[in-house]
Amino acid sequence: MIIHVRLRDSDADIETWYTAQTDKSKAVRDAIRAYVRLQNGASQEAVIKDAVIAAMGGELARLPNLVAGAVRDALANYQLRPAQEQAAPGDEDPELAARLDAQLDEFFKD
Amino acid sequence: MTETLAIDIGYGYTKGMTGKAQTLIPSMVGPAEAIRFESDVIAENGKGIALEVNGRAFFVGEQAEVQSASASQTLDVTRTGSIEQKALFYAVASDLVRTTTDDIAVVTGLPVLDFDDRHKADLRAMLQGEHTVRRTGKHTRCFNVEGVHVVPQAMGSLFALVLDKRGKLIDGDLAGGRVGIIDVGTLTTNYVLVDRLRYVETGSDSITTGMAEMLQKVAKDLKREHDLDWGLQLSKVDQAVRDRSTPVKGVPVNIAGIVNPHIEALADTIVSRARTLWGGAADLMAVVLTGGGSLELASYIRKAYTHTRTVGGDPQFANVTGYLRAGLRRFG
Repeated sequence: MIIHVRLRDSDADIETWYTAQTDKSKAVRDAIRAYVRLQNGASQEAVIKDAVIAAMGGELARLPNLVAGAVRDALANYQLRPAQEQAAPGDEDPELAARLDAQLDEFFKD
Repeated sequence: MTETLAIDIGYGYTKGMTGKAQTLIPSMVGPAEAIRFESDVIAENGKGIALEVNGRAFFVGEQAEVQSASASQTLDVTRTGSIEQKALFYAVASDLVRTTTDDIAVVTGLPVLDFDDRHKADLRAMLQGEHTVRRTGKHTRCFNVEGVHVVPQAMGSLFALVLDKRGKLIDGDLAGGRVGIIDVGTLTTNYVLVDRLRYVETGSDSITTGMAEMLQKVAKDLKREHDLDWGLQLSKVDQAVRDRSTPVKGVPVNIAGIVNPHIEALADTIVSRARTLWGGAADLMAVVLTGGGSLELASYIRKAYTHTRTVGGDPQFANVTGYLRAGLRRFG
């Protein structure tokens, strides 16, 4: 079911909130559920807490993409090469790594 | 678990590093009995290093410099395996080794000229085995050095450039090419040639020329022109050289005219030996300049070798940083 709302002229604050919602239908449903819970005796604190957890869950899920995007932008701006900065075992050139380890074997032998 | 301790014992300074901390101590060692009255002061204010080596008491670092001029900066600190070197090792260990640590792997370096079996054996004899470090004002440390691993000194700087903090290979450019390393120390300059991370002995050498020679010449000129008698206080001359200025009778005097020709002459000597080893270095990916004197000399060396690179951060720590990274790659 899709819920539509009609706003009055005096509801400017609600309109601002409503306009900012990406999923307007879900946002209105959540608001109505919260109102119903309050009417049924749930505390305001419990309702707000659940809303914050729900909102953060969405944000946290997006966090890796947000961070990766920001890092990509920063590296592009500074013309750095991510391959050199994000060292991981798999990134080593196997031939060079073998030469290095052979050299360390010679240096480190007792 | 075995902890890796990297140590670089130089004539000017001794540098130590673990994965958690680092320290730098002037390489000056004096017998404590000559300045016994100072021990109470040290215990009170925590400054200076007083410790025991093989049953004898020593002052190390600034306290030895201030209190024991005749015994302070002697060539003994460069004699591989000497008791003075052991005092420097204990000073570093008392700063960096945790009281709960039992086993240590030491990674250190020798000048290219001394990189032979005899000197390595002397170094191992001094470092390997059980140690009890008693230092005034600190908890006693008891640990076992289970391995001593030695590399040519300047190799540390290359390891610092091509390995990350955990010892993983990150710089494919330098690692994949031929690289010449010039390590300008206080008394000696080391040249190391590396071909795709392999040490090439025939292109490596040491000369007994370093920053001290230049500082002595500057000290002589400062005495002649400004009556500053700093021949035995090279740390003061060093500071004046860095500043290109020094106060004379309370007034700052520009000494660039004195300093620059001596630095240029030192650079000429260093480049001259490099040319006999590497020619114009056209086949080298880079010439890496490192060591305490590298910042002063870089602009002059770059005139001869335009592909000169300096190491990032404090170049005094470049070798010990590389020793640690190599050790962490090996021992985790």
